[in-house]
Amino acid sequence: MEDDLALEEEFEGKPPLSEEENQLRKIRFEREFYPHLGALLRFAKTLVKEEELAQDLVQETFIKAFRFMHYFEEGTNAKAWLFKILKNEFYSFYRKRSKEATFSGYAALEEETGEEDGQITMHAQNLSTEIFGQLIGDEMSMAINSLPADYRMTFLLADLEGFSYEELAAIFKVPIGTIRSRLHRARNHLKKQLTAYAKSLGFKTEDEDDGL
Amino acid sequence: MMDCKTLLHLIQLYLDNEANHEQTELLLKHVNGCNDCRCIYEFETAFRSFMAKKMNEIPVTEQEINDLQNKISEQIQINES
Repeated sequence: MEDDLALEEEFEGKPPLSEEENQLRKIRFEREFYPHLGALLRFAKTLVKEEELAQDLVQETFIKAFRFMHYFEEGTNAKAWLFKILKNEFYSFYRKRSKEATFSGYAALEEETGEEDGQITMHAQNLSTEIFGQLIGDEMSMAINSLPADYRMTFLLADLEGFSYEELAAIFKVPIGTIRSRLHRARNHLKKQLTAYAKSLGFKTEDEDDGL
Repeated sequence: MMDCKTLLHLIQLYLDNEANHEQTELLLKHVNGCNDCRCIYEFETAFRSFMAKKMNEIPVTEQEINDLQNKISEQIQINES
């Protein structure tokens, strides 16, 4: 599988584990990885808005993490490593459902912000509406799901999980400038979509500040 | 004196906890002296607060986590055998 190959390639050259090391892997897996299960599940639910699919993505993430755990470097960021695998699982899910990706979502964002981004990779924004549209509950979900996949994941990992620019750059394998750009565009898009909604719920907005 | 366009960039860095000490001081000094930028800063802060609150409303129960953990462990056991 493409993502498995990507992981193999990333850790290429590392020696296989002995039987004793394999036993230690199970202990470490429970100690270091399971504590992050709740965070990944919440993130996946926000990302795809469908419980069964969110659970499947997280389950596959942990199974793959276990399979490749002998390549994980102890003492490094286990949570970031899990989210990196989850990101690959999510993209893999998208690819399985579309042979032809579209740039329409990115084009719309660039039009909104008046900027260009040479680092954008190709993932289909319109698929999220097609697949999850009927499951979306409110304006917040709709706005987040209207973001292209790369932007949505970057935004959620930053604002929901609190990853730093540096960690996000490592997860997505892009420069920090690309992370900043994605966050800037994603937030601008969401602000446009959600300002009216926020006001309706009683949150203070820019319009009300004008009088200060 | 910092220009207002630079401040917009610093607000994002600051709210992302990515601004260094010098940038933080520049930002706060400018915000205190510029009414327009203070409004933008307050809006950005309020908006992030709103987003964080809404995103954290998505429920994940302990039972759900435990069930999924058991399911994963079972699947790993099957894969190993």
